[in-house]
Amino acid sequence: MRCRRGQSAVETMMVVPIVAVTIMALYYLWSVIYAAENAHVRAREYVLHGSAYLGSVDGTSGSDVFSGNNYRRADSTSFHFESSSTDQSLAVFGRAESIEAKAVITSR
Amino acid sequence: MCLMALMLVVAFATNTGIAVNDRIRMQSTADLATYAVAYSEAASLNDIVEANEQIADIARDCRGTLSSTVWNTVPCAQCGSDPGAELVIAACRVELDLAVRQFMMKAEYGNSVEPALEAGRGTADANFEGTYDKTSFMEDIPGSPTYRWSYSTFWQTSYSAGINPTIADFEQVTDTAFNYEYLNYCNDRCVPSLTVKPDQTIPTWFVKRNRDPEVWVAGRVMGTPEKRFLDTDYRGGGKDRGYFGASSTGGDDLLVAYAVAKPYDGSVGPSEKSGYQLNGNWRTGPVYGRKGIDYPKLGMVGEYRARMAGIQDRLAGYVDAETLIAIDGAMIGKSWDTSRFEH
Repeated sequence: MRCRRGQSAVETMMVVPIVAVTIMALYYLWSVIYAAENAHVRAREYVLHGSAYLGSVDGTSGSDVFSGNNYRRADSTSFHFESSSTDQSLAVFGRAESIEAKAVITSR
Repeated sequence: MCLMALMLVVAFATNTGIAVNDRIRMQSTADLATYAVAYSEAASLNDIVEANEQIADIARDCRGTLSSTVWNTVPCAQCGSDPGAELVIAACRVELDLAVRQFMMKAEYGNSVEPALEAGRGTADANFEGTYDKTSFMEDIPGSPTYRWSYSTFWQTSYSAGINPTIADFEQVTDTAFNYEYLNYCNDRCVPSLTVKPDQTIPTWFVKRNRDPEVWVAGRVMGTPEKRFLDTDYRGGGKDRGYFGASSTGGDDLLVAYAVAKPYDGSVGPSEKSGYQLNGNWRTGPVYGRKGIDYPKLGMVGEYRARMAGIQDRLAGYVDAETLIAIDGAMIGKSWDTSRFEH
């Protein structure tokens, strides 16, 4: 009977890197998607509520329809409010994605 | 086999992540587009308040002129009225005619609601490309607040009258009195007596009886985000560049989002049901004086702004507008079911 004790070890060595890369890829994808969601939600919240809700968040700025503790008076039927937000994914293999999202309320 | 399974896991994870992200974007788009409509409507309402105040100002100035003196412009030649005062009233009628028309022009559906709907569609497309044509604010559904003839206003001046579709139901005050004191020479041939010219009324400003609940907007935005690298076209029925694994014929990869918003915090006109607070006929002596006109103006507040509202029921997938604005007036005493909307 031939000895097979080394076979499992070899197979494991072949599969482990693939599984590891897959897990890292999923982690990276999750991070990118999380950053994208974050950027979109921040942009949307900023254009609607301005610094009242997102005053201390970095990477988010623009014009908004909020002033003080209430929505702005609607002054004109010609209007344009726009905010943008940037968020970064976590770095995997030294690479991080920067994602920018915009939110617009416009009459144009 | 294992590699295949791992690839599928990565593919589905990617797909799900992108779908969730796009779903969030679509909901934000619906919120912002609907808000844009409400904001534009709020701005129109502020313009309408301004036009209403203009009518009240003209009425106040006319009354001020009429009540500033005892009229005696053509002694011994006039019985029953004073020609000078009547000239003032005629000029007021012309001014009020123009001001009422100005009000109606601003309140008209085509100048208030239509531009707002256009702003909403533009906002949807600016946030999520390709959604312009698939954005609806229920403007085609009778009973919806954005439908052309859901609200209308009958207006009249001294020279004309009409009925127009408007942003809300307005009711015009037609019994604003314009009277004055004059020396009447009818008695005993050129012997004057101090007389009050009996009430003559002119249609003036507008009232919104039901303060605001009827002005709101429900929006629905739909679209299939472009994802060339994910569309496998697996059914071969078309290439809409939708999600991996979804029908490429444009069915189950369609994203739909709903939102509700409304103008608030202002008031177009006094909403008292009767009395001098409505028509300004507050007697300060023998004539209706300058002071009386302040009461209607106090009810005109040009502070409209817009806010997001909400949907009570959980809406999943595509829902007919008819279902959204269901006709079950018998249950709640209204022509459309607002129970689904918090506004």
